[in-house]
Amino acid sequence: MVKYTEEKKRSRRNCKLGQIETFGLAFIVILISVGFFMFVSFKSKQVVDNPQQEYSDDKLPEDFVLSILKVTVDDCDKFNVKELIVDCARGRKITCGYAGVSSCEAVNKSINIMLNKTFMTAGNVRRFRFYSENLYDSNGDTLINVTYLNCTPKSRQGRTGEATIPLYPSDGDVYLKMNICH
Amino acid sequence: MEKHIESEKEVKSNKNKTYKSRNREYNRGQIQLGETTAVVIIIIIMLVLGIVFWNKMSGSNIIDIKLKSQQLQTIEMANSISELTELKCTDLGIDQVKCLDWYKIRAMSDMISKDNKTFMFYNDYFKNSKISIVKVYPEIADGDINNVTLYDVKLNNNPKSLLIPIPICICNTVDKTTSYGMIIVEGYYNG
Repeated sequence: MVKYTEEKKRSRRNCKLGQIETFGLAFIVILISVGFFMFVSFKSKQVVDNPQQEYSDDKLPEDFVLSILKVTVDDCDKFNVKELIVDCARGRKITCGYAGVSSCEAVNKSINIMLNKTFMTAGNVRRFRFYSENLYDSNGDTLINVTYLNCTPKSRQGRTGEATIPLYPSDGDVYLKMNICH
Repeated sequence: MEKHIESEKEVKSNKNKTYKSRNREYNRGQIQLGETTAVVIIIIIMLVLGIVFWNKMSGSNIIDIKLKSQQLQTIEMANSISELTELKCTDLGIDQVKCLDWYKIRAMSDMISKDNKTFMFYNDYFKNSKISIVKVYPEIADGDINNVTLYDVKLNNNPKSLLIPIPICICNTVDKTTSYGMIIVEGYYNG
């Protein structure tokens, strides 16, 4: 008789434990599902697919770099940017204007003006970096290296816009490169 | 007699025991029913919440998709302008990269604004938008034109717009110079 009542008590305890476990499991499932809903809603708000932004970041640098090559440099006897870059990289024989500015200085100044009027004006301000490779000033430093709004190589950036300028008949190429940072 | 009374008592006590145990079983059944009801209610609440959430998400998705497709249309159109044969610079019959002819731009602007047939033809492509071409560098002397509006059709008084600037070079075949400029496309759409 005593054994029977003890067994009953045990089974009751087990029943209660079972109930508690079921509620715990249900609670955890509810918590997980609520967390999942919150995560999905947060993610869906966070990932904004913006074609305009993607287009600007990937296409603008390429368009800019290719467009400036044939532009006639102001006050430089109808030489264009490409011709002045080739002269700057090869022998620096061309001088521009009454002041006799070298081709390197003239091209640097003109590119800076174009960058300024395109990417630093109100309504179209962008973080960017524009730089040249294999093109050096008289001190041996890279001639063009413009960084705006702290856009560094480590920043997240779109596709690189690149123009290759061959120095033929001399060896090598000069590269103009541009990135827009996010 | 005494035996009979005792046996009656035993029967009574047995009856009581079976009644109590039955009661306990009923109670357990009620608890289980309560649990089941709670679970069903919770599931229904979660289902309702899920449906509401999904409805909201799908609604905002449709608006996003519509906006995105309108933006893509404007981008596509903006891209096509710099490739229009009517406007491109040619050198010995070969099209130049990223280059528009200044005089072709001005001629086309005149044609679109004055000739209805030309306007209707380009309206199929440009739809509700404003396309202008601006010379940026070098600086232009006072009195010279540096801005040409190629096409301008506004949808209504307060449309939303998407502005896309495209860098290009603009050649002047008369004085043999090339300027740097921008095609500015403003696509109008209802928000």
